[in-house]
Amino acid sequence: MSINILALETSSPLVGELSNQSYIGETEGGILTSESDKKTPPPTPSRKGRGEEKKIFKMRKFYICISLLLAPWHNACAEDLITIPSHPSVAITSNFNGASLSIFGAIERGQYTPRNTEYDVVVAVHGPEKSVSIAEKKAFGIFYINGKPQDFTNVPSYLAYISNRPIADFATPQVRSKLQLGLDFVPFTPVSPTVTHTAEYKNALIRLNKQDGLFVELTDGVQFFTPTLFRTQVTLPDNAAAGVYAVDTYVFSAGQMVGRNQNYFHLYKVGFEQWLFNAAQEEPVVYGLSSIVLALFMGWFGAVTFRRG
Amino acid sequence: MTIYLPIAEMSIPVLLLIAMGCVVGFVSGLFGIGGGFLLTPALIIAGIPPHVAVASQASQIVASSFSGALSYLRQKQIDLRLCATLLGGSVFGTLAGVSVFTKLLQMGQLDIVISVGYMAIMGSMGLLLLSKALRLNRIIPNLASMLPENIVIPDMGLPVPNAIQAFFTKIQIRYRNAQVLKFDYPTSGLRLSIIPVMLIGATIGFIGSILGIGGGFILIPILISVLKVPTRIAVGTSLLQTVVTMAFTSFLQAVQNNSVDLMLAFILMIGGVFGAQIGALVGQKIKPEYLRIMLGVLIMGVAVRFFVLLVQVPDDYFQLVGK
Repeated sequence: MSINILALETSSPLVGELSNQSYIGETEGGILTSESDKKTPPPTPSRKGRGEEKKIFKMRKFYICISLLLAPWHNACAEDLITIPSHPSVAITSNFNGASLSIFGAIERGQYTPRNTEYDVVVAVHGPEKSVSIAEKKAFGIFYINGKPQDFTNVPSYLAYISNRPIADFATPQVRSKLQLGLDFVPFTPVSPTVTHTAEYKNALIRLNKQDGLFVELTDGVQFFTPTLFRTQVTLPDNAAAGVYAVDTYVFSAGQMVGRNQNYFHLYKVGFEQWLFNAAQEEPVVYGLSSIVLALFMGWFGAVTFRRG
Repeated sequence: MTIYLPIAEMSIPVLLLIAMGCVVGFVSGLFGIGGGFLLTPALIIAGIPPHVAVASQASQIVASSFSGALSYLRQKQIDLRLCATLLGGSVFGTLAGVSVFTKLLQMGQLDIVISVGYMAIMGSMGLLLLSKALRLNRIIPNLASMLPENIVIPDMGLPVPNAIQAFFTKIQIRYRNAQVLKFDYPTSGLRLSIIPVMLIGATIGFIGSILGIGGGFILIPILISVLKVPTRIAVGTSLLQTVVTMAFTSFLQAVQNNSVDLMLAFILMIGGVFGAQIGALVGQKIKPEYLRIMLGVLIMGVAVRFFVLLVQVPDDYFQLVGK
C-alpha cells in the first residue's frame, strides 16, 4: 500500500523522505528482539532533536535547490527510490558483539528514462554525533608525550560509504564535496584551528576511526539483484554508539544524481544494559554506593566460602 | 563468549575478564596488596577506555582487598586506630587526586601522567624491594670506589635505593619523632604523632586516585620502615586502608565521571575474590624474602613496560584521547 503512495507522491523528494519515515513504523517482523516490536522508537528521538531538525531543514533547502536545478529535465531523469533497512531497530543486549543489517533498495525508472539505463548507488550511514579529541605525540627529551589535543565537534561516531564501484568512477569531485560522498569529502575541522597542520589531524581522525571499524569505505558493498533492485550490508562494530543512524541513499546515472532517499535505523541498549547505563548517568550517587556495597558483599562472600571449604 | 559492557560501550570475552580478575586477585592475596597496578594496565591493553578502566578496577580492588582484610581482622592483625588516622589524611589526598584526574582527562594528558607516574613509582619501589636481594647496596658503592677520586658524586644521584632509604630515614627522624598530637596505637605497640601518619595517608590517597591504585605496595614498606609497624599488622592495616580508599575513589569516579562500569567490575570480582583466597593460602607457605623478591620483579616488570612505551618511537603519532 505504502509503495503505491510513494510511487504517486515521490515526484517531490521531500515528500518521499517523509513517507519513508512513516514506512519504518509499518515494517514488521524485521526487528531483532520481540520486545522492541511494540515500542519501536521514533526515528528522531527528542534527545538530539535540535541537531536533527537543523539537518532536515538544511536538507529541505538542499532539496528545493536541487529540484529547482533539475526542474527542466526533472521528468526525464528523476528516479524514485525506496529503501528499507532489514532491521529498523537493533537492540544491544548482553551478548551484543556488533551487528550487521541489510538495506534493500528499489529504483523506479522515471517516465522517460530509457529501459537500459544503468545505475550506481552510494549508501551513506551516519551514526550519532559526538566530540572527539586527537592528540599528537611529541618528542620531549627521550620521552614521547601527548601534545595539546585538538577537539572536533559533531563527528559522526559511525560513518560508512558503501557503493557498487569506486565513487570517483561515477561522481565528480564537485558533486562529491557538495553531497559529502566519501570520508575525504567530509569537512572535519578542529574547534580551534591554531595548529598549522590541521589536515594531519583530520587525516588522523579518519585513519584512527577506520582502524576501529567505525569509519568504513566499501567500493563493492552494493549488490544489484536486477538493474533496479539492490541490497547492501551495514556492519556495526561492538563499540558502535547507541542512537539513531541515518541512511542516505544516492542513485547516480551517467554521472548525475538522479535519486535520493533518507531512512533510519536505531541502535539502542535494552534491558539490564540500558538500566545500568541510565543509572550511572542519572543516579550517580546511588550507583556509586551500590558499586561499593556489591564489592564488599563479593569480598565477604569469597572469604566466607573459602573459610568453610 | 563475549559480554557487552554498557559504560565502556564495547564487548569483551568473559573468560578473559575472569582470568584477569583471578590473576590479579591471586597477586593481591599473595602479597597483601590491592593489585591495581597490574589490573589497570591490563584492562587498557584489553581495549577498555582508560577512564573506564581506572574507575572500574577500583571496585574489584575493594572486593579482593576486603576478602583479604576479613581474615586479618579475624586474627586481630589490623591496627584500626592507625588505619583511621591514615584514612583521615587519605580523604584529603583522594579528593585532590580525583579533581586532578578530571582535569587531566579534560586536558587529554591522562595517559602520559599515568605512564610517567607508574614508571617513576614502580621503578623506585621495585629497586627498593630488590635492593637487599640483589645486594645493590654493596655493588653500587664498590662501583663508586672504582671511579677516579676527583669526581664528586652528588648525594641523591648515587645509588638509588640508598638515596630513597636515606630520604625515608630523614622523614623518620623529622616526623616520626614529632612531639605534637601524640597518640597510643596499642595494636602496633607504638606511640606516634598523627601528623606524619596523616601525611602518609594523604600522599597515598593522592597517588592512588590518579593512578587507579590502592597504594598498598607503597604503604606497607613505609609503615614498616618509617613508622616501625610490625610486618603482619602493616599488611592487614594496609589492606583495610586500601578497601576504604578504593571504595571512596570508585564512588567519586562514579559521581564525577560516570565512568564506573559495574558489569566489568562484577565479572572481575568473581575471579578476584577467589584468586585472593588462593593467593593468601599460597603466600603463607613462601618465605617472606622470596615474596619480597617476587613482588620486586613483578613491579620492575610493570615499570620497564611503561618505560618502553614512553621512549619507543610511536607507530602512529596521533591518537584519540578522552571520551
